[in-house]
Amino acid sequence: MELRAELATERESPNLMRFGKKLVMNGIMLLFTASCIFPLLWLGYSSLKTQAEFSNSIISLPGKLHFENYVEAIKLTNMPQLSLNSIRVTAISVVLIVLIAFITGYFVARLQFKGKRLMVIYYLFGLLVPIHALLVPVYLLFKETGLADHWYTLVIPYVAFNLSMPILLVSSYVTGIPKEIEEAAAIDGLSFSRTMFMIIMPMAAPVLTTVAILQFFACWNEFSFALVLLKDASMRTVPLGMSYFKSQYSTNYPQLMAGMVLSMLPVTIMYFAFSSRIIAGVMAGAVKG
Amino acid sequence: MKKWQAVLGVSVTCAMLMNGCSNKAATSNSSKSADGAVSIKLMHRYQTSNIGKSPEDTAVLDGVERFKKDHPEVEIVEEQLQNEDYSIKAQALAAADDMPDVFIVPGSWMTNFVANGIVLPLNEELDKRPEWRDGYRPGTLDAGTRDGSVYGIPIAAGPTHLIYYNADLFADIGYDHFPKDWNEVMDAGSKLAAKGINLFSYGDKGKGYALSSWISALTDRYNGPAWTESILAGNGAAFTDAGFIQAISTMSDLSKAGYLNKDMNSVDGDTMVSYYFEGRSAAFVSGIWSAMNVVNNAPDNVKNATKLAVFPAAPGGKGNPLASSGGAGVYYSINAKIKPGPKLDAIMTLLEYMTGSQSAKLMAEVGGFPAFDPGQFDSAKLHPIALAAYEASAAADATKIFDLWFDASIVEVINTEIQSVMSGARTPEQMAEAVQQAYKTFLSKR
Amino acid sequence: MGKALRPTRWLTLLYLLPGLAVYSFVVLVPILSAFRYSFYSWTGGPRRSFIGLDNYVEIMRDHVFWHSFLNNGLMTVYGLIGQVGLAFLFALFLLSRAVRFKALHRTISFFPSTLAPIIIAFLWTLIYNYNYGLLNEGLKLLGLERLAQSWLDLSGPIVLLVSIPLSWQNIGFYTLLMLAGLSAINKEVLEVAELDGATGFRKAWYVIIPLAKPTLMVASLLCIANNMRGFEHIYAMTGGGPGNASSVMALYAYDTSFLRFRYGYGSALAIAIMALTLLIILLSAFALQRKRSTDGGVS
Repeated sequence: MELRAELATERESPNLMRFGKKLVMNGIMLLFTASCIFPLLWLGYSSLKTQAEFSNSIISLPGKLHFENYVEAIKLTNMPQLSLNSIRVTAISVVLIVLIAFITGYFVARLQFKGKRLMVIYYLFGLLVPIHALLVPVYLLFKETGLADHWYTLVIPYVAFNLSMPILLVSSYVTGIPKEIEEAAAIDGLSFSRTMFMIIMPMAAPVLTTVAILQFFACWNEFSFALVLLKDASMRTVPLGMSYFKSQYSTNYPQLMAGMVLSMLPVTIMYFAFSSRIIAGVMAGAVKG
Repeated sequence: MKKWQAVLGVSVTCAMLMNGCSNKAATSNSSKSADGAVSIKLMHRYQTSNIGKSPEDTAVLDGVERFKKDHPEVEIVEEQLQNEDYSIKAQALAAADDMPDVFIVPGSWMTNFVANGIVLPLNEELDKRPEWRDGYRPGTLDAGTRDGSVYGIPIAAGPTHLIYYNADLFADIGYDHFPKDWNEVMDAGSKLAAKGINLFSYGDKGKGYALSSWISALTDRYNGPAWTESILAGNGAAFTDAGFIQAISTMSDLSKAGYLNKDMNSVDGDTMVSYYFEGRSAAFVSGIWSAMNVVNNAPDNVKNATKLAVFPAAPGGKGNPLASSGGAGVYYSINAKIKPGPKLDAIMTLLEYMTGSQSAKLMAEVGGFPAFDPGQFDSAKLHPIALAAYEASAAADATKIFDLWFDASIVEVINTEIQSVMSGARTPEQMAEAVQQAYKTFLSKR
Repeated sequence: MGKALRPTRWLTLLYLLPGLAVYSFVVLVPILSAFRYSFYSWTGGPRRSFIGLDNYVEIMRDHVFWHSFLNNGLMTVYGLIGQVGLAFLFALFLLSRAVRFKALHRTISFFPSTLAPIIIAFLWTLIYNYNYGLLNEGLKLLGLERLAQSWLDLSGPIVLLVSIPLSWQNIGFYTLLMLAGLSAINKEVLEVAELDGATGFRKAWYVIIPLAKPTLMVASLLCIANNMRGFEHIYAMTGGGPGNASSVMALYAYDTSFLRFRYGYGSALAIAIMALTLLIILLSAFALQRKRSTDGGVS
């Protein structure tokens, strides 16, 4: 309150300056947003050119739309199968990540127990692991335990390697929820588990949404484990298909771009279909908090 | 209430699904091994989608299909991967001692795989099939042989160094032939540069291109094969010898003069070839594998003007000016755990189908250069460029491809250092020094 | 937590165990085996020979590794500025009433985060390309053709050049993180700051920074961790080149195992990477913590 009063006394800056500031802020944001979307639009429309057209002028719009780039790309790979595999592995991983991260994050935020600090540090350690330098030991482990080469194989590393940040996010979010809520729940006679899942979990929805989204893309795009831990071509995921496009069309940029667009299509559609809800979820949390 | 029940429900279902599936997998596995039929696990980097585009993929996979038809009693479990992915996966499996029955081994891995007992010596098996064994071109088994034991069956062979050049562009600057000596090369370079064209396009992003297509042949021009042998035997020759430095200097001179594309270290071999197709360069240096790329993908005017050459003689050089680095680079090897018996027999038969006489004929007919000598084949359908490449390959005096023969630690240093030299950050002398250092370390550990 | 119910000990265990189990299985066990291999000379296959600390002694003298380490450090600095710094600024902008199209900005700027590293690398390799590149094309349009470069061939600024795509991809994510964190700040403070222009902004700054400190700290530590173990973008864009100019630790460890067949040394490198990263994180956490306490002392 004091602060507000203090600040209010200086409310005299000229309109012009405010306008200038507005212009700069909007300008920067628009520029940045444009820089985020333009390269991708460029990828999209260039994929409809021929190689000759592309090398002639890399930036111009295609004269005629060459959808045969896509026909060729679809013919050469099994995108529906790859997508299905990716969806299955990713969906299961994300559900498990959200569940485990919520429970663990809630315990960390609310309860004192022996070894809590150690556990948090232990989980955070996962952020430091250079996965690509550890492919051989990981493969050995999966081979020796017989866990390699099943359709659920990838769920295990995807969950494990994607727990650290979600736990961090959840626990810091839950810390911000007033403790009185649980006290009230206790007075109402709710058990610990019910309070956690029925009262707090819905309140943590914004952060859980964020976690789910972020880990969705992390799992969806993972490449190295998918390459090393799976043999059967029928279990391969989308990123393996992408690597395949890259080797097939590296002489022909538009063709390669068509392959890239095709492989990012499922994620793109999903993102833009749900983006308003995703962002709204995050912002709802932001406004309330 | 409902929400968390749903979540729990989903996770329980997941767990149950997992169990169900793993049980199923386990039972199907055990039933397979129980009935005693031969099953061969094959992992390689040839892909069905390359059939018709790449001679090797076409021929090898045709061999697999023919084998399946002739031997329906043998089950083949095949895993196809693209090049880079194959390397990562094969090495993870090798380190874990979990290789499939049959797999591809690039010559440069062979020493390591032999030392670690990953690959099976094949002499005995090959001796049972002398006709097939003796059909391979001289020298093609070499990079797969250690101390007299053959550990790999070669697939394709041919030079790693050929110059593909656009005769029309050279005619425009007054050359009716590819430059005959290095003065002419530099002269042509400056005349082409004046027209805004690079003499050579060059693409070494993948690290390895320089060594296999340039350094191996160029060093031989200066030093002759005796130097290479001496390096390999570890008796006297050094990377700091004048010839090696001169070879590297020749390359760095081309780069410094601006006769190569500016982005030489950041584009790959395929982009290098497309620069040639687009007329940005008058020539490129590559192996025989680029012949079919030119035939299939070059615009007609470029395709019709393309001719083949090799590096001119080096001034005062000891090497044969007509030689090219070559031989087989990639082999099929068999898991060392396979014991003699029906399975090994079936595998050898499969390898003969994939790389032997019939496959070799097909490979030659579609523009490849098989390691197995196909003898007479129907060359009518071959494009003149492919035919010229075939004839050049058959005629070339093959010198050693360094990346197959040098130890991986030395290869790695050369691959990295040459990028620095070409980008102007290091001198050829500094590079020679660094390579010599790695070589000494290698010798001391031997 | 006073009156609220506490779970029994076994219930606590039951809830925490599944996560710990799967995490330990995939993360801890391979690290422990890498630690074991790091004392061996192992070139692949079943044969290994124990060589004690030799691999670690070699790391101490390995120029390429330390060069890569410096590159990681440089990337981290660029990341802190380009990812955390810019994201903080953008988040402030997005909370301001003056900025229009907020939903659009948020939606679009997060989009690159959803893409696979292989796509980002491909896209930016193309942007930087000499002949087909958007960057050179843009320079041409601006009449600055003489500045056109084959960007990824420049040894000098290469680390900066490969850091830009990383920032580009991650700003959206960090902006979301900041937005979530800044939401704790009273809206009125921000509004007042905005209405009052420069002086108000400066004052609000002193209010916002301490309030945003936890978020900033989390974001910074995340950013450090991600840049210290960075791999995929560099692997796909330059492979560490030209020469070793853009090599990073994880890439070097990977090459050591997969190109040079030195799995023992590669494992030792992996352990070294984790140790160094941990050290840096502890140091920076310590520094940030200290700064907070001195800040507290002043105000």
